[in-house]
Amino acid sequence: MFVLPTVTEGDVDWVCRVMGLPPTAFSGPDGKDPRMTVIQRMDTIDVEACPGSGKTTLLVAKLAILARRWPSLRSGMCVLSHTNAARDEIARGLSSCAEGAMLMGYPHFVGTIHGFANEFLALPYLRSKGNPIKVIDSEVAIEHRWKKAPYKKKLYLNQQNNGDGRSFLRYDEEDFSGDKMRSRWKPHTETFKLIQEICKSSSEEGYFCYDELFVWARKLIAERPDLAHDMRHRFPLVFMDEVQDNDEEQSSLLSQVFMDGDNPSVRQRFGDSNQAIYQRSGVTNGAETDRFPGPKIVRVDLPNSFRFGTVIAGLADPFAVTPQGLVGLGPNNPRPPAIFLFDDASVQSVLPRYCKYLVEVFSANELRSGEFTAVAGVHKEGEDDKIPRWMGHYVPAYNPDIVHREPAPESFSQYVMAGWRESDRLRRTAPLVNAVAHAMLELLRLEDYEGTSERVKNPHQVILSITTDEKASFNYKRLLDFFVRKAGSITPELWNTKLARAIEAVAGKLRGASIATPEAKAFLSWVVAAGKVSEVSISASSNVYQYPANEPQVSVRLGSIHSVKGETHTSTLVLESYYRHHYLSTLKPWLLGISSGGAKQGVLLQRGLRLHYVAMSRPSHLLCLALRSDALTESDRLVLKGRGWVLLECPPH
Amino acid sequence: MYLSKLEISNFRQFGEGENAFVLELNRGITALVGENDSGKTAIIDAIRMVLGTRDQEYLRVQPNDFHFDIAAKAQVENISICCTFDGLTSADRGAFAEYLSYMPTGGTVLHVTWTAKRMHAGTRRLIPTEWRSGDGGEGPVLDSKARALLTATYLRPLRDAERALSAGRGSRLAQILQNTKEIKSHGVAFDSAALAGLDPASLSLVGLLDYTNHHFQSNEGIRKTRERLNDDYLSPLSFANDELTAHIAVSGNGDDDARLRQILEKLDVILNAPGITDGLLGRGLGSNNLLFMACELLLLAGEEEGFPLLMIEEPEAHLHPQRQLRLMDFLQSHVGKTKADGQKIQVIVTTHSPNLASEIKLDNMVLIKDRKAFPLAKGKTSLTASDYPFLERYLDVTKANLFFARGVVVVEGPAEDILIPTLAQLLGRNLEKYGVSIIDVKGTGLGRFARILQRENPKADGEIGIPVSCVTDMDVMPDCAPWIVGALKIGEAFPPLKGSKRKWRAKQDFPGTELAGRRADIEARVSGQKIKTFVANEWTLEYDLAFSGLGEFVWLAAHLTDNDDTLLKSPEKRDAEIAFAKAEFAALAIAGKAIEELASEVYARFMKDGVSKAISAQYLASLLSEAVETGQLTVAELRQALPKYLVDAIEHVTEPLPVIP
Repeated sequence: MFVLPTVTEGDVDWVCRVMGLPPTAFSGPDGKDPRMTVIQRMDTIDVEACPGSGKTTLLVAKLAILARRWPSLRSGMCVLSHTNAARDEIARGLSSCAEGAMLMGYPHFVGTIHGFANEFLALPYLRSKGNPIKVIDSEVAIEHRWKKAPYKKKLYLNQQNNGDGRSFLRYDEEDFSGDKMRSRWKPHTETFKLIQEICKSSSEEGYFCYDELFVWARKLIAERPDLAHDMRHRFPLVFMDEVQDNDEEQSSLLSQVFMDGDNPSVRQRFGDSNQAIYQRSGVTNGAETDRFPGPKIVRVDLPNSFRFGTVIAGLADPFAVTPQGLVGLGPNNPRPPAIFLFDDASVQSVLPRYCKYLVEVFSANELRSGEFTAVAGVHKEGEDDKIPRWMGHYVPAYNPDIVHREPAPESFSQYVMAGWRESDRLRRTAPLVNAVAHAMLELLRLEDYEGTSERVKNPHQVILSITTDEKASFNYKRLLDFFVRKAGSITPELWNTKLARAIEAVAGKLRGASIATPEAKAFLSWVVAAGKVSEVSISASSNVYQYPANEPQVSVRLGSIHSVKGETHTSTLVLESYYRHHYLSTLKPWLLGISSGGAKQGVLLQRGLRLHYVAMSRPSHLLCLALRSDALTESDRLVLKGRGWVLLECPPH
Repeated sequence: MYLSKLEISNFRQFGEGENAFVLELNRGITALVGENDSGKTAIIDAIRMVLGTRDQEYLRVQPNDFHFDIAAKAQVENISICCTFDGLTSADRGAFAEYLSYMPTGGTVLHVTWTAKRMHAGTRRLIPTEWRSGDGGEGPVLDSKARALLTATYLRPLRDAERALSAGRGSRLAQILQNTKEIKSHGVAFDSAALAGLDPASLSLVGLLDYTNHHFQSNEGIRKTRERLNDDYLSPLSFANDELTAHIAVSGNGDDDARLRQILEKLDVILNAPGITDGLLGRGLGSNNLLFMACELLLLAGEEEGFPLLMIEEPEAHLHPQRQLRLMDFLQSHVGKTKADGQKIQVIVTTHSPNLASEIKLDNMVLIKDRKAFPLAKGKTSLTASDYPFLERYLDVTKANLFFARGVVVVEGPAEDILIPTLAQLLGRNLEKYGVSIIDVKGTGLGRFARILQRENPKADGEIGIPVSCVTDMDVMPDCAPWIVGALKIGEAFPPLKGSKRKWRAKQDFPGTELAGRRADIEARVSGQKIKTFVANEWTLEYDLAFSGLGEFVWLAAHLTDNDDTLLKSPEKRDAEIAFAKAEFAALAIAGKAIEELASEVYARFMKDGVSKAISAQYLASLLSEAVETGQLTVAELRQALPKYLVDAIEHVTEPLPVIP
C-alpha cells in the first residue's frame, strides 16, 4: 500500500544545498524555526505564514524533497495555487533541480484551482457528454453569446444594466441560469428563457466563461459518488497556496474532493488569514466551508519575516486581525517611517513630497535599483465628496483600468510584444513562441479556423498540426525565428511595411486560402502597446510617477493595495482613501498603539485592517503613510512621534 | 482494469470503416485462434504499438504498417488504434482521472487512441505518433508516464527462454526478486565488529554480500593478487600525490539499493533436470519456456502499480501436446485470482494449436477469420446456453480443428467421416487442398458443433465466412424395407404409428407433403449464414449410395467387411471374395426388381446382419478409388451414381463441380 515518504534532516540539508540556501535556512540558527516543522510534518496542517516569511521557498523545498522520495508511479502530489503567477513562481523554483522538475509532470499536478477543476473534473465531464470544448475565455464566450441575441433584445439588455447587457450572459447553475439574470427576471419570463437558451447553445457549441467550468465540475462530483475516493487515490497529498483567497465555491469543491467523509487526503494549506483581501466583485466574504485556518486542524505559525526588520514589523503587526507577533528578520537598515499630512489644498503635493523624502533618505544607487510604490485602498473614482476618496485625488492622471492584470492582447503585435517582454525577462524563448502561435491561432480563428482551446496548451504544436504542407510550416518557423532574434528591435514602420504582410502570407499558406475578413486584417495592423514614459510626470499608460518630472531620480509605481499583494517593495506609501469612511483615520487607534488586532471588530473594520496590513507589510526599508492633517490631534502627533514616525506637512499645490 | 475493446483502422491488413477490425475482449483470458494470415500477429502488434511492452523492445512503426487500400491502389495516410479499458478500480480511475470517459450508463472507461501519420517518400524521419485519450481521441494527449502504467508483458512466439532468464543487467529474474517484499525486509546488515558468533543465516542479502566480501578480502589468493596488482603494477603507474589502488570484491559499488540490484542481476534461475534439486543440470527448451512463463506470471502478480496484461503468441511453442494442455489449464485458473491491489491478470494468447484450442473455454475464444474477429462467447454465437457446457465436454483436439478450417463438414458417424474425403478426392475436390476439416460428432450434437460458426447477430457482427456442411440421415425407410431389413417379421402387418413404440419410420408414415415437411424440418435445424444441412435424399448413407447407383460397391464392401478377419490373415483371398460377392449381387439384382427393394437388401447387410458401417466405409473407399484408378468407373459415372446430397455437401465446402453437359 502507498505510504507517504518521510522527510529527514539529511533531506533538508540536501535541499538547502541544491537550492543554494544556507544550511540553517529552514532549521533557523537556533534550530527552533517552525519552518523545519512545516517541512517535516506529513499530516494535515494549516500554515499561517506572515508576509515575507518565504513561504514559497519553503513550499518549493518541501516539494523538491518529496519529489525525490516519491514512491508511486500513479499517485501524485496536487499543488494548488490561486493565480497563474503563483503557479509559475512555484514552477520556477522547482525547475532549479531535476527532482523538482519531475513534479511538473504526471502523476503530479501543479496549477491553479481553476486549472485543476477543469483538467480533472469539468473537461472530462463535458468530453464524456460529447460536448466540444473550443474556447474557455469569458470575453470570447460572452461575445459569442452576445451575437446570438436579437438586436432589440440587446438594446433591452443594455438598458437593463447601464449599457452593459453582456454581463447577463453568464450562468452559474447547470440549468444555464445565472445569478445576474435570476436577480433581474423571473424564470418563466421570455427574456430569462432566451438568455438561458443563448447560454445553453453557446456552451453546447463549446464556448465557456472561466467560472462556468465549476458548474460542470460540481455536476460530475454530484453524478459520481466514487469520484472523491478516486481522486484521493490519485492525490493522497495536497498542498494549497494562498488559501486565504479561496472563495466559497472553490473551497467547498476542494473540500468535497479531498477532505469530506472517509479517507481524506493529507492536506497542507499555506496562507495568511490576515491578508485575506482578494474578493471577487459581489463576494464580500471568503469561504465559509473549510475555513482557513481550520478550527480542528493542527496549525503552524510562521511569524518570522525576512522582508523587513523590527521597525516595520512593529508598526504593521497590530493591523493584523489576529496578530502573530511579527518578527522582523529582514534588512536592519530601515529609514525613518514617515507620515505625510495634507488637506484639500495640498492633496496633490503628497506624491512630490514623498518622492522628495525618498531622495533624501535613499542613495542614488538605491533609488535606481529599488522598487518604490504608493498604494491606496480605493483606486477607483467615486463621488468627489470625500477627499481623499481614491488614488486620483492624489494623482489626477491616474488610470485605474490598467492596474488589472495585463489586458488580453488585441492585435498580433501586442501578442508578440507581450511574449517578447516575458521571454526577455525569463531568458527563455518559450513565452514568445507561444505568444506568436497564440496570435497565429487567433488570426486563423478570425477567419474560419475552429480549433479547441483545450489543445492550446501547446499552440505551437497546434499550428504545426494544422497543415501538412511542409513549405507552410517551414515559413511559419522562419517567421518564428525572426521574432525570436529580432522582436526587441521591431518598429511600427517595419511592422506596417513588411511584417504584417509576411504574417499574412504565412497565415494564408497555413490555412490554404488568403486572409480576407476585415477583422483579421485589423488584427494584423500595428496597435500601439503600452508606450514609453513620456514627458509628463505620470504616464497614463503605466501609472508610474516620476520625480522630478524633467530629470527623474525616482519612479514610483501607483496602484491599488490589491494590485501589490505578494510584492516586496523598497518603500511603500500607504495613502488614505475612502470607503464608507476614511480608512486610516478610522484605524488611528491602531496607529497610535491603542488597539491591536481586530478579531472582535465588525466586518467593515476588519476589511480595513486586512487591507492596510497587506499594504504596510510590503516594504523592506521604508513605510510611509499619508493622512489628512485634520485627522490628528496634537496629542496624537506626539504619540506618533514617540512611536518613531516622522511627520511631514505637505505644502499646498 | 482490463482491455475491453480494441479497434484497429488502417494498420497492415486491416482497413477502415467496414473493414476496420473491432474486437471485444473478456476479463481474464482471451484466445485468438485462427489460421495463418488471419491477422493474429497484427492484432498483437497493434496492442504492442499502443501500450508498449516491458521487455523495452520498442516496436517502431514501419512504412509498410500503413494499410494498402487495394481499391484505391494506395497506402493510407493515418493509422489509428484505439484501446478501451473497462473495469477500472478506484486507484485506476484516480491514476487516469484527467483522461477518463464517463459513460451514460454510469460506467467509467479509459480510451487510448494511438495514431501514426505517414511520412512521404524521401523524408527519412520518424513517423509521428500520438497517444490521445477520450472517445475518438478528443481528450488530452496521454502523458508518457501515464502511458508507461499501461505497459504490457509480451512473450514472442519463438522465444529464447534460456537467454531471457539468464543473469545480467535488467534481467527478468532480478525484476521479479526486486518485487518480492521479503528480499528487502528479511535479515540484518553485516557488521564486521560483531563477527564472533555471527549466524550468516540472520543476514540480509546485502549483509551476506558484505559478509562474503569480508572473507574474500582475507582469502589468500585474492589478497596476494591485490597486493601484486597494487605494488608491482599500479604503484609504478601512479603519480606521487595520487596513488592508484585496486580493490577486489563482489558487487562492491554504490549504496545498498544499487548493490542489492547488482546481486540480483548476478542470479540465474535453472529448471532442475529430473532427480536433481540443486540446479547442476538443467532441462531443455520446452521446459524452460514453461519456467519463463511462470516467471512472467510471478512478476505480474507481484507488481503493485501497472496494468497486468500478458500477451503470449503461440504458447504452444516448444511444448508437447500434454504440456500445452497443462499450461492452458494453469493460465485459465491463474487469471481468476485477484491481486493485492484488486487487479486481475488479463491474458491474451494467439494460437493455431487445436490442442490448446480444445482446452480453452468457448467463452474465451475469439475466432480470427478474414481480418475479422468473431468472439465465440455466449450471446455472440447461435449456440444456446446449454450448448456451451455440452461443447466444453465434447470439444476435443480433433474437433478443435474446426477453428482453423476454411470449410467444415460435420457428420454423424465414422462412415461419412471416412467416405466423404475419398468421394471428394475422386470428384476432384481434395478436402485438404481446400482446407476443409471433417468433424465426426459421433451421433450427438451435430447442430451444436455447426452453430459454433453461426453468429447470433450477423447483421451487426458479420458472418464467419467458413462454409459448413452438416451431413445427416433422413431416417425414413421405403415402405418395402421393414420386412427386408428385419424391422418387421415376414408376414407381420405394418403397425400403425399411433400407440406403437417403434422408433423407425417408413414413407407411409408421412402421407402427402409430410415427408417434404420432415426434410425441411431437419434442414432448418441448422442452417443460415454459411451453414447448410444436407439430408440424405432417401434414408441413410449406405441405402442412399445403393439407391443412387453404387449398390454393387456397397454390397462388395459389406461382404469384405463381413470377412474382415479372414482377409486380415490371408489378404490374397480378396479377389476371390470380391468375385463371390459380385456373383451374389448379380443374383440379387434381377431385372425388374424395384430399386427400393434392391437397395434395402443391400442395407439389410448392416441393419439386419450387423456388418460394421465404419469398416465397410473403409472398403468402399478403397474399392471406389481402385475403380476410378483402373478406369472401371469414370469420374462422371461416379458423380452420376452418388446421392445428390453428398455431392451438394462437398460442393458447399469446396466449390461447385463443373456443370454436366
